[in-house]
Amino acid sequence: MNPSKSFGWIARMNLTLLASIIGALLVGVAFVYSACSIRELDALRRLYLLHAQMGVIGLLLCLGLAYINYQDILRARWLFYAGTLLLLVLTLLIGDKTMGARRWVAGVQPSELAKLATILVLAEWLGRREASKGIGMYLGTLALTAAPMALIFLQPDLGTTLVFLPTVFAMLFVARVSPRAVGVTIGAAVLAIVLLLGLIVASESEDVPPQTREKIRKMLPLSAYQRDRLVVFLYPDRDPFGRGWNKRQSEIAVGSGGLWGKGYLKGDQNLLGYLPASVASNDFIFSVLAEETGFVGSMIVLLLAVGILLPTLAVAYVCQDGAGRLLCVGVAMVTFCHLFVNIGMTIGLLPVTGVPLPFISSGRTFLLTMMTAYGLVQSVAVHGRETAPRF
Amino acid sequence: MIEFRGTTQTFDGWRIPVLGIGFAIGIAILVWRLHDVQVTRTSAFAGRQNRQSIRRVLLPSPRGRIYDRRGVCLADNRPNPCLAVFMEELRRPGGWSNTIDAVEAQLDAVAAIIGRPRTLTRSEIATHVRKRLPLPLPVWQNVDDETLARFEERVTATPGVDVYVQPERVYPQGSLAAHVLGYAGREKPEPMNDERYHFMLLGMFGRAGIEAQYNAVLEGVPGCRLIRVDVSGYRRLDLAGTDPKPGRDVSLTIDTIVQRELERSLAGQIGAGVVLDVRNGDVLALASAPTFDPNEMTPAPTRARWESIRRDPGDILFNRAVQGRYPPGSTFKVIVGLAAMGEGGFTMADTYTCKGEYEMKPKPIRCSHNAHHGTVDLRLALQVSCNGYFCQTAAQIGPEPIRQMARELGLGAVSGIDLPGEYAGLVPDAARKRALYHDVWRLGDTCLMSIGQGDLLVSPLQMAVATAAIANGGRVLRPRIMQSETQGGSVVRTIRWRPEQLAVIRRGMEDAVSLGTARHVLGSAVTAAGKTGTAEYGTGSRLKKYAWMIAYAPAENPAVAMALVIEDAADSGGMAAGPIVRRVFSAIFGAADQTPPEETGAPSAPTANHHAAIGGRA
Repeated sequence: MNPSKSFGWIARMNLTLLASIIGALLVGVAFVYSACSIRELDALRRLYLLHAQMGVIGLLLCLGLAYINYQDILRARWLFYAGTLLLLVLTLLIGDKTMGARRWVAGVQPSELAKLATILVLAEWLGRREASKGIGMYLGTLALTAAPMALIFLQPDLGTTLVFLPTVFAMLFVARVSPRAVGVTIGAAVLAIVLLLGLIVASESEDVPPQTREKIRKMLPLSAYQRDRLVVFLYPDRDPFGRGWNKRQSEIAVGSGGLWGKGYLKGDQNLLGYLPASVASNDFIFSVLAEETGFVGSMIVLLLAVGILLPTLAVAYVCQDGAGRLLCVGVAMVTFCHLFVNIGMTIGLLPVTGVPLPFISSGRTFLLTMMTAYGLVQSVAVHGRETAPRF
Repeated sequence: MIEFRGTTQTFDGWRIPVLGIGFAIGIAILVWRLHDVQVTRTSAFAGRQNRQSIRRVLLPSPRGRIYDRRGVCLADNRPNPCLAVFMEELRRPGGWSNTIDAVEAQLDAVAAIIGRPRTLTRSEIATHVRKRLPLPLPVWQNVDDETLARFEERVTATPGVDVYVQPERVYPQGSLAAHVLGYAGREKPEPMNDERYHFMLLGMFGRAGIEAQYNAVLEGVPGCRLIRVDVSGYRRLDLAGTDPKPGRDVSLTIDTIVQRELERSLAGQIGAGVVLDVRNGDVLALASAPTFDPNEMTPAPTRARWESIRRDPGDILFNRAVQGRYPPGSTFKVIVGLAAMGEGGFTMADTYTCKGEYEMKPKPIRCSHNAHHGTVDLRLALQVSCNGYFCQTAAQIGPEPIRQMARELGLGAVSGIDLPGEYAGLVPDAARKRALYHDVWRLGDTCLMSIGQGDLLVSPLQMAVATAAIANGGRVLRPRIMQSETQGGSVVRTIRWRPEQLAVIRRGMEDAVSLGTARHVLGSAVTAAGKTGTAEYGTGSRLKKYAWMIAYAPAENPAVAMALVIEDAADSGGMAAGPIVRRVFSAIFGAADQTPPEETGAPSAPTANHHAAIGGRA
């Protein structure tokens, strides 16, 4: 059977994955509406419509990509990668500046595209070269990753920058590239994080003299607001009405939701403006959802997440092709990182970062990127097992 | 194995499952934490949310009304319709000034509709925004029906402004019993040291008189409304709350007819009078002149009114009846007489020969009008108010029995009346004189005290209590203004006088009315007994007189006692105070005032139903 000649390809898609994505999209439309329905700005109030439109476009895109063989798309990987890097450079130069960072250019958020571009490049590269799985390939991978990371770090957007690392290391791990080097690097990274937090604790404790504090602050490779977010994370009660506001208010939203929630469109934290309008529909959409639907609603979101992650890993597992397999692994890891970091920050597990919740947060670049990514995963599901080599 | 482009990658089957286990651990951590936050600790977070968004507003309760003993309403509540701004309906995005602009524009629009200028300034609006944002802001007070109608017609054109009713205190009888009632003012928004409420809607708070004394009873229990405010502090919605419990209505012992007569008689003068029921201490009337209209004091006097009150030399808010300090003058002689007949061992056989003045250094004590009373006994001495007799008597018995009798009758101590700010009076003694003047107590001091001068100070209320005790046979009563079920009143102490001891004094007082200095009381509807007093104060050309009268009636079976003082009187106590006592007694005991011919034109008050005041025992 040739799937490209009949409708068999639709049956070969992972339908659990498709259903979970559609479910997550519907949840997204519902709660973007809830987060914005009382806002004064028309643009904000209509955000849910935009989300629905992007969702439909994204679904079509997803289905279209599923039909096309991902290997054909992978051929354009360098073009995609180079184009993304160019956009990232443009962002730094002429991007729209909001809240001290340049993250958008012409309505597009290139940092989201860069995640997918890097996954595509690495999937092909790590999946093909049986011969050179040594330290050379490892360093090459780091170099390919470092370029977009550095450009995103300069925006600055620490959260998105850091999402690259687990993604790339998950791919290195599955591709069995230089396990020793990977292990050492992960160990070093963990050590670095511990060291960083340790230094922050050392400098920001109440009893540290101001001169010492300034000295340690200068040693940290962080901007002032990045440090503040970590300080707020470590000392939640220090500045509840300033820098700690969003963290505190989102925790109150989630916590006050209780088991069953307060009911759709009845989230007080959002209605009363304690969750700022600027973040309620994107970074903190989970707080709105969790307040209105409670623990039960949170579990449904996590169930949808499992419905996305597990099939994606399953597609990777049964894929016969290294590139397809690594593509799925990369996409799954990006999804997991966003999910974990986003939900984790609303409940005080992790510092506050601008990492949106896949399919649910408003934000069209990220939504379309994720839909593209899962279109490719579906393509791997359709084409990654039985298609014959085409040359 | 299917061949792909390039070499086939060998595949460790365990690496992707390991990744899956990693995801599972991550999701398990989220589940655990979400369960902790949303299920285990949900009440803590709900509490934090309520703390930051729920405001408790104190709702004042309707204040209890005040009635006199006949059921005449003395203090009532009336709705004060206001036009008020509801800030949350006028909020504008951006800075506060945008919202304040909107409020100002809306107020100007309403001002044009109702034809009343806006008096609220921008800074007053800003203060409200800063301090009391979720509460309505009253702009136009006491809006009349016509204005309201004009407003209601256009109400859709004026969002954010609406009718809001504030309860207000009103005193239907005007200035009647003003010093007894006191007044209630609009409560100031106190800084919230009370954690239970974030905001207070302003209620009325007793500031003087009964309103202050029984504020707790009249006030009731305030209610509480819970409102939810948004992050900017605007009211978003009302939650449940508790309703206020209205304050209790109270009835006073005051009899408006007696009170009105007393006030009318005091009008235009400076002075005070107290009328007591001698059987139980009920205050039938208590007046201080000049007086004021408590309606002008509530919710707060205008600035101009406050200025004029402050500058008024008459000190109109001062309750002279309980706070005034006066030398009792000759009215004190009844107390000297009681002491002489008691401790002093005097009898009617002890006489004194009056030659018009009593030798005393540095200057002699004269009898009024330089009268030569001749041979006087105690009864006659009270009738004619012979100074020499009492100086002589006091010199013989010494000051201590006099002080003791004065104190037993309640002088020098608060009577315990249920009105704030009572003056305790002063019964001078040697220790005080030594401390104050570095001098010993001399015979002259005793003599001055015996005629109610010197440092001796009393309030009219104290003299009324003492007179009531003489009238009722020795029961010193705690005077009361709040009606009470207690029959016979609250007895502070009972003085055991010998029958003839009291009889002489009372006969002397009866004679004073029928024959002597107090004869201006004659002609009232009832037989009376009394004693006048004229205490001098000031020196030289500024020498002035306090005109006093204490009296009780009916003489043979006393029911009421009164004490009266006129400051700065032109005449003696008998002349200045006597006619007032007569009119008050007539008001109480009903029959037409048999006004002596030379006093025609004096108001005659009595109307029907007066006997109720005194239980029909007249």
